[in-house]
Amino acid sequence: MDVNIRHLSVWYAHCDELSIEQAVNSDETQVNWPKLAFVPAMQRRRLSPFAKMALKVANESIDGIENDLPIVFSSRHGDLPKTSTLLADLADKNAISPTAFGLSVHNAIPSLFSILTNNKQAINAISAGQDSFMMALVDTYARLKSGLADEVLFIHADQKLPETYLGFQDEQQLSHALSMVVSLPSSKVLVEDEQNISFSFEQFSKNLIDNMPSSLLFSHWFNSAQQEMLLATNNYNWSLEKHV
Amino acid sequence: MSDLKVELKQLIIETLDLEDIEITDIQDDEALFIDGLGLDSIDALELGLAIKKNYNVKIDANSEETKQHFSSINALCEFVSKAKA
Repeated sequence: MDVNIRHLSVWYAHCDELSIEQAVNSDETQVNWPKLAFVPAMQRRRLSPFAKMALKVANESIDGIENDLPIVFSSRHGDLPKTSTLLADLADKNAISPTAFGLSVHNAIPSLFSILTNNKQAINAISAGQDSFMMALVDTYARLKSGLADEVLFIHADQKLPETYLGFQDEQQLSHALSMVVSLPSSKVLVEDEQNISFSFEQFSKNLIDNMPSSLLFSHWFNSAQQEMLLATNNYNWSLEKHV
Repeated sequence: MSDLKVELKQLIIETLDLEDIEITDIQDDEALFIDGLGLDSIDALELGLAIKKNYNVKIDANSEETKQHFSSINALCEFVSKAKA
């Protein structure tokens, strides 16, 4: 699979003062979540930290792009802080908040973005365990190959697991969001921040519990001088390569 | 201003995350939805739930009367005090 990627935008907790390596597994009780000035105040009031970081990077990625892009949204856990609060309310037999319920579904974030940008293109929302990010990239490739779209807006977001779920963690934890514009390679010259990459995968079972999330490894690799990268998850080995 | 009206305004601000709005910004006779304060249909559900929880009153989701009860602070105050009585 061969794609062009541009307008990569990344945000993570404490990104204003820490590198990704320093920020991973750090305390997230005091985070400066994105302010989101482009969202009208009456709509912004309902946005969770999860929504704010995802919408921030998505908005940066489409900067300067005139036409509406179809969206592939990837998240392993979705808005789990919100979902776990809802589940606790249900378990306690409390009535659940309609607003929180509506905004906790997996496609809520790209849907909010489509409303904010008046974008009527198709949206896919993907979750695939440790492979969420890369499988969403496969889905993006399929969408492009189908010929239904020339470009896809790709958004990924995952928040640090809430306290209740930390016992189940099998990856390092860092609230982060990433967004990029993906297209098929063409005869056009690559724009300034654009790179042509290829990726493939093979099944290979193992038991990794302390990896950095693929999305963060990907963005680090994309912005580095490193040519190739091997991404290992519990079910697959992914090979990625940049082409000059 | 009656205590219940202040209480209802506080409830609206907290339940609906109206961060930039003060109690004194909400007029008793002003429309709560669409015009005036500018609340929307999701707010209506959320506010209905909060009123049910806080005052233990029943709200019929589909009646025309409910719309009337939620039209302003004055109407809401009258509805809650009658329902509690």
